[in-house]
Amino acid sequence: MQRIAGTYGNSNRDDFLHAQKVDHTSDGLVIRWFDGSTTSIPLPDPKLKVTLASTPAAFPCNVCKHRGGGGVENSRVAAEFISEAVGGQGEIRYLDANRYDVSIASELTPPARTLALRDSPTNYVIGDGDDKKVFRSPVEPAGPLGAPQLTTSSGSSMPRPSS
Amino acid sequence: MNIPKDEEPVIAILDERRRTGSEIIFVLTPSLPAQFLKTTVLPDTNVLIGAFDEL
Repeated sequence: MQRIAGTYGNSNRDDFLHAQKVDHTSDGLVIRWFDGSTTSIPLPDPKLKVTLASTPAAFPCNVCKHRGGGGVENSRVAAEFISEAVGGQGEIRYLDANRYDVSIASELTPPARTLALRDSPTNYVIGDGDDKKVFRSPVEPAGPLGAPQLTTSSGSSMPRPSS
Repeated sequence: MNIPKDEEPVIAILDERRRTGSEIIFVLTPSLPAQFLKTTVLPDTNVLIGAFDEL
């Protein structure tokens, strides 16, 4: 019997920052970029993930790679991993609350749909392992959710991601 | 459902779960109101997961 798994959540884009040096101070982080400039980020809380009120101007200029992330993508990857491990032949469906961009769409295995409630935010990641920090963008309010998004059974009328 | 941030789609998926009898695995999130999680999500969820980095 074919089984169908569905994953739902919010995607984001993870942009990985490439820095020359990251210093931890009592107030936060001081990031030294390869052009010699620095960015200081106050971190009153030592949590792994921090939501910034605004993105530092240096972040977009120092991205070395990006990939899709967020709960919905992580669950899809996990479901695929488990399905392969147990020899499953089922279908894994992906429903994203966010309007994901091309960089995320290129990593997805169909069928993938979006409710397009808001654009996928970009998170910035620096470091790895125990030294990793994730700087999250604020989540925008949701756009309207109406019948076209909720009543289809095939998903065919759901909005496609914009490019 | 992994850390959803909007109530309406969650309600719609839970409604569909009642119709189809499918199983729901839900990753808890502080992005949704605690009362909504308690009264709407918990009673209709088969498996609950707490994300360690969100607690």
